[in-house]
Amino acid sequence: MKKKLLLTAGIIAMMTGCASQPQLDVNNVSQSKQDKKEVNINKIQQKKEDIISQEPTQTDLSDNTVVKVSENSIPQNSLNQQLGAALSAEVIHFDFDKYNIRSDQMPIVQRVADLLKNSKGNFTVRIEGNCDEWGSDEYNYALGLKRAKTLKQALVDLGVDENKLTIISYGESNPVCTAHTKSCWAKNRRDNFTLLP
Amino acid sequence: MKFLIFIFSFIYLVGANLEVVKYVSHKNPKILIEYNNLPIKIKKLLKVDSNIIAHYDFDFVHIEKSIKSIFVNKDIYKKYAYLLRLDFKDNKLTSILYDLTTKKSMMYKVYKIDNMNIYPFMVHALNYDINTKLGFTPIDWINRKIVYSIFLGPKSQSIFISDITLTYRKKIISGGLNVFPKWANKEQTEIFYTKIEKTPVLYKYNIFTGNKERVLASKGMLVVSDVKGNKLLLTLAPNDQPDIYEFDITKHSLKRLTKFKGIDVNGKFYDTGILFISDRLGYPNVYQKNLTTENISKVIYHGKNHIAVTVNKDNIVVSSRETNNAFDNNTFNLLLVNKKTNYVKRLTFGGKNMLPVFSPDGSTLLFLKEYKFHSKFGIIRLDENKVIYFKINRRIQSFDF
Repeated sequence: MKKKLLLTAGIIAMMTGCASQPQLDVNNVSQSKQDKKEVNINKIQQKKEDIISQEPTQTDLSDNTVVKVSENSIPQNSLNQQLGAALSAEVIHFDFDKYNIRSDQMPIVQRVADLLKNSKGNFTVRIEGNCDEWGSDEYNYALGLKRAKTLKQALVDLGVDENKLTIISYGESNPVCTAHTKSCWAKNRRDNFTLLP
Repeated sequence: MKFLIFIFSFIYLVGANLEVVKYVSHKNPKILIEYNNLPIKIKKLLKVDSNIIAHYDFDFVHIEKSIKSIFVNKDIYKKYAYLLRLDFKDNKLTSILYDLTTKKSMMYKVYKIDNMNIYPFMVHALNYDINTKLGFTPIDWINRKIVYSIFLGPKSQSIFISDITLTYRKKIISGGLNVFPKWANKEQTEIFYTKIEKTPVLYKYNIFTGNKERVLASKGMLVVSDVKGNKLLLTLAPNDQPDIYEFDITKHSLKRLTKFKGIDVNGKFYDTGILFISDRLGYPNVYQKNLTTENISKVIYHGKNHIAVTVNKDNIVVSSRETNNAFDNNTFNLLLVNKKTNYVKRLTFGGKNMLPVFSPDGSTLLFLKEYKFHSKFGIIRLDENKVIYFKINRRIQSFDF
């Protein structure tokens, strides 16, 4: 008992000696936390009431207050980026010295046609015809152009708007690989797509 | 008489890597060159030139005395028909040519250059004069420049000019995809070339002033195949269909010359009409169109698959594909056909030999040989039955001479 009194006295003495320091009132801190808690809850509850009070009344409900989320609300830039990314993954390959579309490439052509028909907004797609390194480049520029033209016609036949398509040839000038191998030559005999800005 | 050459900047020089193939051996007159000061590269290029010209051969001997002194090596002169004395100093090459039979001077000329970078043109000029003095068939082609486009990467090609031995080289067009350069005039002061922008655009460029003029634009494809005065033959595709067109630069008028749903390219002015490559029979071949009668006929029945053509008077050279293999090396050889006599001569024997181009006088043919991972320029001296190759460590897309 004596020890407890002494301890308490000591504490009080210390606190009195540090008169410049703010008094530490444990009970008050606890209490203020409590207050804060209560205040916070009250604020939250107040917010809920605010929200509740902002909900339209039955008479306010109409189409104008309901925002429909659809493609029209997505910016055109974003749609074009998606289209561009999808197109860049599609490539049609051709046989040596040929510009007719092989039957095994038709599923890709159909996929591209569907993609373009289902894409809204204003855009232009450039079909780029390319060749392997064999032959004169003047002939290959023409061959690349024929490859692009054949593909353009196929897409139009599948219902794509012709005005959305343009063609160009790069001949041998735009290879995806430069190894002198049969697999590389096959890769370079192709049409690919670019979405024009 | 002093010889002045224009100054160029940004010079890139490569020593010629020379390969010579001679079909028929015959003795050329020998010229002894006695020189006082002569840089090694000038000496080397003199040898290269004499190999290409194939009218005479050089031997070299150094002399301590002035080139204007009396004859020095009398004991060896018997082996030679001519003596050429050379001295190079302060960018001037002094030359004296003697006939060793008469012991008389035939030519005294001083060639001056503004900087050493353009020495190849000086050496070619000297050889041109020697050849003329000795009465051989003219070699105007040796003074001509080659313009060519080099593949640098996807959608990236630059255009260079060089002398015929590729010793002097200068980049003149860079940035983007610049293709199919063509000399716009005989003087070789301007070129046409196509730049692939959003669509192909044809430009005319002055190689001395740097002046660039936009000539024409088209959808799809635009290539200058031939030039004759103010008229160009173009492969054009304004409606997505490649055909041959004639374009008048002064009138800015365009006339369609071929109408075919397949491929018509590589038009050349010929006789009363044009020659061109077409796949109207299912594979590319050379055809002729009479522009008066509109009649179209096949020209060459040798070889099945012709991918390129050049013509000079009655001589036609085609690059003919002799294999049809998508999965292995193909063979393209050059065939010379005389349209009047139907004489046929195979000019190459294996490998990929493409893009033949005649010199204006028809005596010499330049072409490309694809060799492993790079190109070689080939020069065929038709009357001399000789082929010379110059290796270039890049892939050439197209060139003109």
